[in-house]
Amino acid sequence: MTMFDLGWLFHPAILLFLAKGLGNSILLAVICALISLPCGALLASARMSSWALVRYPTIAYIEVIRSLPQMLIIFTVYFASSSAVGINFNPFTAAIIALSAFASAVMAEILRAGLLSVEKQVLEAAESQALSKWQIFTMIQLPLAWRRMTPSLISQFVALVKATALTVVIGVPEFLDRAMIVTSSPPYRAIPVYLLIGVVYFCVNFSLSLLGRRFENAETGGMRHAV
Amino acid sequence: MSFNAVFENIDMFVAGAFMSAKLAICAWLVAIALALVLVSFRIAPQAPLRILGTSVIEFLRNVPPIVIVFFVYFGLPQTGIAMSGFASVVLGVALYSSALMAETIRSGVFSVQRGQYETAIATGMSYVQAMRYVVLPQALRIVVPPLGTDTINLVKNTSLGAAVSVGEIVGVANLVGSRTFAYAAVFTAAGVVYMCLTWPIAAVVNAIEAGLSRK
Repeated sequence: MTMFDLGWLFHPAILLFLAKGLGNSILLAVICALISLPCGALLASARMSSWALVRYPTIAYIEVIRSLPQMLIIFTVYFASSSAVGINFNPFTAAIIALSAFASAVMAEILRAGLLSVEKQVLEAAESQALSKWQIFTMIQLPLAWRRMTPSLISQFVALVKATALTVVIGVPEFLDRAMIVTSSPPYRAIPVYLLIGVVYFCVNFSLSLLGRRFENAETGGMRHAV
Repeated sequence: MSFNAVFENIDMFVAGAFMSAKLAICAWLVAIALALVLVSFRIAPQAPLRILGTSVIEFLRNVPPIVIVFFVYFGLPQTGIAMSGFASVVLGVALYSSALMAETIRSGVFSVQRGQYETAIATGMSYVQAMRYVVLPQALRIVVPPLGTDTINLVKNTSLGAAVSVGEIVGVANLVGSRTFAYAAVFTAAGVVYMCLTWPIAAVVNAIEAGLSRK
């Protein structure tokens, strides 16, 4: 077999096996994104609470968890959960909890920055039109903030897709895990397999990034119109 | 929660913390050097160089760093390039971070308006003077905070060493945890180590930022 004969890798059974792994990776990322959005919103509102007893513990949670490597959070949830809370999580559940715990903290900061980016004058103008606080939030602040946050939310999802690869260390059957299984069977060639999954990760994440950039351009374009 | 498992194996934890720091410092130096090379390709006037630089940057930043480390650790030896775990983590983490840093540096230098440079030249400054006194001070002020964020992410990424048994802090914590089952304690200790490693970086960035904005 020559070095460039890749028939073994592009065999339908192998590709299907890898594709299932990729499916699990994306499923994991989507689940974590769906969890981290409401959890992040909750953390962001607690972070901006006027009640110090709520605000400071939230700040502490957000700052501490963001300063830790996700690898460490994954290990902690998977191994320490049984001794700390007496529950044994399976790898997939542990991965969801660990990645969501981190993503929620990041999400909270994105949401907070987005909400704070809405100019005070805009909110005051709304107030002068006798809109209620709730109306101002849902009709003015949130829609404006949402448009500005969209690029950050997409790059956060890209970060989440990349982070799913870390769950290989606790044996989640995701893309990298499947790739490792392929490399540990004949003909035991690692380079083509890692290049292939690298290219697939790139295609998924780069197309998401391009989508984010389109929103970014649309946003600045819209701003230019307004001015 | 009892921290006996940590104190009884304190020598391992100290060695692990030093290994993490060593990985981070080596990876940072390689990453900055690679980032400067990538930036010079990325903004080259020749289209082929520019396309090459852009492609490499976009590829590296959109791939999970653990895949890059595994490629280096498991893949390169098959071509005859022997890679130790340490070298694999340094190279893998540096390759990933260099792409992020390249984009940070590029957007910082480009955010200084062209008029600033042109005005400096018009007042009789040489290219070097214009760069030294006008463009770079402004670019540095913009670049330092996000470069600090990139550096903190690089430090956190050295935890990938746990996946290729380098003996850095997460790997040590995992090993001690598997012997003593005091997982909560050992991972808390590892978390404290990361805070001790990243806090000085944040402090240095803040100090540089304060120093630059005073000028």
